[in-house]
Amino acid sequence: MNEGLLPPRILTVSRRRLRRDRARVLRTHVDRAIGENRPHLVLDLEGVDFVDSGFLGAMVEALKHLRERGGDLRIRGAGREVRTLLALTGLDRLFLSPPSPEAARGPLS
Amino acid sequence: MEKLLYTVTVPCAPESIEVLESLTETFLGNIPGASPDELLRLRLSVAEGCRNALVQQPQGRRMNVTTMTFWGGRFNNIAQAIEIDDPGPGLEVGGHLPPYPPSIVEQAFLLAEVFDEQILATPETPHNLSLTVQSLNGHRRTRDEWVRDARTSGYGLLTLCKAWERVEFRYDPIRGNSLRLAQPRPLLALYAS
Repeated sequence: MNEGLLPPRILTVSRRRLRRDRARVLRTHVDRAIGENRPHLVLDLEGVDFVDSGFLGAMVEALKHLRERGGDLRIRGAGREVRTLLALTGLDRLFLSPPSPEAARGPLS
Repeated sequence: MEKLLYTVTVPCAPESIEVLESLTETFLGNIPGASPDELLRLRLSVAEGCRNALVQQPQGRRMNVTTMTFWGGRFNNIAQAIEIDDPGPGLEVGGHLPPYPPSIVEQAFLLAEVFDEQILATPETPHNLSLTVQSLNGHRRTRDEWVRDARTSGYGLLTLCKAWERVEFRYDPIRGNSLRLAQPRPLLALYAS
């Protein structure tokens, strides 16, 4: 557990659809979070009903980037459509799986 | 015999995606006997196919059009199919392609077979197989390992191949590409009766 870390930053999405063209926005948030030593992000996808493959790739890229710096990227509020897309691509295990015991004690809990 | 149900041509622009999705929903909505989960997977994958066709078009060619054709009936054991034709660079296959090898230009091929290796190299592996491998090796992959091995591209193709039983793609940089999604087994109770 890293007690020096601040609580996770929650990114709320106001769009129904997340496409590749929004990847740059996500990268900006990731860079800012790392710069502020808040590498734990939660992407709130409530109300989102489609995420295209380009944005899924950007999410994986962001996750790798954050993990390298001791952080994480999790998803919350995913509806049936987004959960189905994540299951089809196998990314549910990266973004929806329960946090590890260490993480559960950490800032994401 | 396969029967042309309807065809629609729209400008190659992201704004057209919802039009095509709406038509797809109508097409799939007329299929009795399919589970809601299956219909959802098909609809979402078609949306992904449309995105590839409409968004990944070459720069400066916005006046191009994408054509979507819906087929129903029985031919070669195909119950129904959706074809998406577009002038774009084609599907992104895990960052390996495009450019595609010259040998496949203008040739229709089965993506699921041709790119089987790439598909299996993505984070997703068949669930049962994964469990078997884990039990054989006595090793359970950690989330860190999944993250480390996860690809950052190629998820469009994976979505299509996981939702549809037959995914064909014809790559032609001059005349345009054609993506064909088909279900060999009948979803239509109409045809099963």
